Amino acid sequence: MLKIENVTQQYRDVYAVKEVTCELTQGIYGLLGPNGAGKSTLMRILVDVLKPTKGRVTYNGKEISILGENYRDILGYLPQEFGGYSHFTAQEFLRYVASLKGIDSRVAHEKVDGLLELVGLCNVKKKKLKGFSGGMTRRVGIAQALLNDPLILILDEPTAGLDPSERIRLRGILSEISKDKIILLSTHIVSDIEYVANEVLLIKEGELIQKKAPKELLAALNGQVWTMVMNEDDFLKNKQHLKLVNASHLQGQVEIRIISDKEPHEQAVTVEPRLEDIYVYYFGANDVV
Amino acid sequence: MNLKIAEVKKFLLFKEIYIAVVFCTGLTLLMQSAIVSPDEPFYFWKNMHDFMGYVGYWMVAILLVVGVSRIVPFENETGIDELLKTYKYGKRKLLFAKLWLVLIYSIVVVTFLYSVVFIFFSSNYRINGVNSMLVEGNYQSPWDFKGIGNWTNGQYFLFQYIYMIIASFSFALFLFLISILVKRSVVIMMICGGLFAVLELIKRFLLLYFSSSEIGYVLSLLYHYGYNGMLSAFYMVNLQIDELWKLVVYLFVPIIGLVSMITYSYERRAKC
Amino acid sequence: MLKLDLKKLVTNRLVLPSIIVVIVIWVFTIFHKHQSGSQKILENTLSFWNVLGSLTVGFLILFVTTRLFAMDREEQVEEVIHTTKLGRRTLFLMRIKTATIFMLVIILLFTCIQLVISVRIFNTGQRLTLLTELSLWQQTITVLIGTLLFTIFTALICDSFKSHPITLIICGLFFGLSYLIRGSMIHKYSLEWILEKGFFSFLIKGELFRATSIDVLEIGILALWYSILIIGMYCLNKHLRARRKEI
Repeated sequence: MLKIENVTQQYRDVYAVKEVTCELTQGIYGLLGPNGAGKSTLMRILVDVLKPTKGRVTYNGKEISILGENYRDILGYLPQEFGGYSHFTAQEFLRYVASLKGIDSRVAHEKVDGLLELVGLCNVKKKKLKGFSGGMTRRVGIAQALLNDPLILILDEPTAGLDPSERIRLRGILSEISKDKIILLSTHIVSDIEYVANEVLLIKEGELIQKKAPKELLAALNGQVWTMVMNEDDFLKNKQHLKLVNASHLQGQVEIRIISDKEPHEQAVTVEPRLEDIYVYYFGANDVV
Repeated sequence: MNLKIAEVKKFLLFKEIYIAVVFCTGLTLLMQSAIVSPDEPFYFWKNMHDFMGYVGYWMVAILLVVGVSRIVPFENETGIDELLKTYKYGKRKLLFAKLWLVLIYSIVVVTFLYSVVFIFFSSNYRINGVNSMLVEGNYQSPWDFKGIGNWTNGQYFLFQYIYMIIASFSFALFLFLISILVKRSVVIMMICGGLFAVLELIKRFLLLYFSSSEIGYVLSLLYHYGYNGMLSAFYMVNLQIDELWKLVVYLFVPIIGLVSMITYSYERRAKC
Repeated sequence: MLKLDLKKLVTNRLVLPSIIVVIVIWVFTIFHKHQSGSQKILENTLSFWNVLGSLTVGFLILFVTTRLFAMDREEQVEEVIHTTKLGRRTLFLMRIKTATIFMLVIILLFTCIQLVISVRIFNTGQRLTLLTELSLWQQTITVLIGTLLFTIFTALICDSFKSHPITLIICGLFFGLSYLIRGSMIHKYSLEWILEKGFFSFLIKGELFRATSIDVLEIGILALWYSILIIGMYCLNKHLRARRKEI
């Protein structure tokens, strides 16, 4: 179990992370929040590259900073910005990481080839990283995080730059391996966690505001998500007063999806809530046109 | 891939090193060609001994500053340094792989410079006198420390070679320590290279004016017992042969201290 | 553009400390010599550019103005800059202009300080000697020309290789070498002669003016050599920029 106890990260007057407390056991956790909410900062604290101003993180009762090498032995991390060594080939880079993770070289050879196949980079394993696209580099990043078969996997926006089929593939991989692992992934793409996450952590301005299963979060929004069609002029007049999730413009009319605790209009119809609605409910939607 | 081989591979990608090697080789040959004259007798081993004390140590300093200052900042510049810290062996083992690289590089730099000079001299003159006694060459140089008379040219050259490797490694460790604290290679070159150069210039131009004053005394100490003095072997000028233990302390205590500070700083900088 | 790039230079953390240190050392040296009644106080005043001034100029060019040409790549905004209307050739020329203006201001600042010192410690006769016979102005002009050329040269190298460390190594080593290769034993037009005089430090030290043994032919050859260096680097830079589609 990974226990986060009252973790705070303060920079002068600004709280990047404020008194976050929660427990993480086996399963997939989605970390959701707007830009600057503190997701990456929290993740950096969890992988022990950033010391929190207050609080601590423990794994099975022991502080991770004290566990040191033993903690890193079971850790896999993909940062938000990942580049790799541009003059190394994908295979060379992963073998290098394998040696840093303490994996025996004979075992590493097989593991590297297996992972490159898993992330769909087998054909380009001898190609230098500087020739890789953003999505391909990201997949190398995912592969290096999985090399040591970690018990704790922390992925910061793993699907950035991946096309839909690659995102689906990653979701499949994570679902498959999540049985005995703690997987925490942060993303802006709500659909990435909608289908795989056991629990969703909502973080806003450094604070953890919710930690629940997606079904529970969605259940709380039952009867509060509405759709309706209105004309453009009415839409423009009333836009500011609506908690808008989506607005589709069709020939002078606008089909809108909004969140409201009471019926906004007689023509409005309730619909099944989605995780995207949760996002807007808690964090708002900036300037939906 | 073996960690040490990977570190070497990364290191060989630095273009700056090749530019510095070409520059230093050219300069070394230029300066040594000024010594070679058909009208004057040439003492092969004396000139081999003198090379490092008069000119060679500048080349060693330049090559070490350029090379070592890129090792750690490279991880920062590629943005991978934080990720490395999350690996099991991404701290201590990686650090020792880098220190191993620094040692190998120091050996290569010293060997390379001696080789260049050796090839240059041997292409102009016969190599003889390896087993001749040092005193026969009427020997006077910065490396001339007292009581050396019973050594042969070959023995003395070997002694000088080993000394230079250890001194270069010590200087390289100092550069490595600075590179852990400072993240930009240009700034490291400025601090370390600048300090070395400034002390050389002070010794050449300013100490004449200030030698009798307190400032002059302090600067003189800084020069003679700092890395300028260590690389130019100035410390050995008044050393007796039975005081070799002082030389061992002078060389190895900084190395031990630097390795400890490097280990502490490298692991500590993980949490910032 | 000019204002913002100038701001980048002026706000560089190295500028103010280096200027202050140089001024303090120089003032201390001159006053010390004045107090000790040195006979050559006037000639010593002109030796500012010999080591201290020229090293400071070299330092500022290598670590401050050159950085302007490598900053885009280091800060990873290069692509964004190159996709703007004026982000290629115009910007490059503007930056060269900015760097040269900045260095010229520094030279003039140091010259003013020399004048202030001479007003403070010399009598009227000595001041006139300094200005007319010993010609402070000629020296300043020589220094200005050298600084301008070296600024342009380092800018071209930095922009060609897109690397501040490489520029530092190439230009810094050759610049520094001229302080180590000195002496009357150097044969004219030899390689050592080129290394001593050929990388702009000769001008920045004000030595063109103070050298007693330099003749017109030597000046001509040096002028030709400097032209070859600058034009050669310019052509290389243009070729590389065309290849990288930065023109």
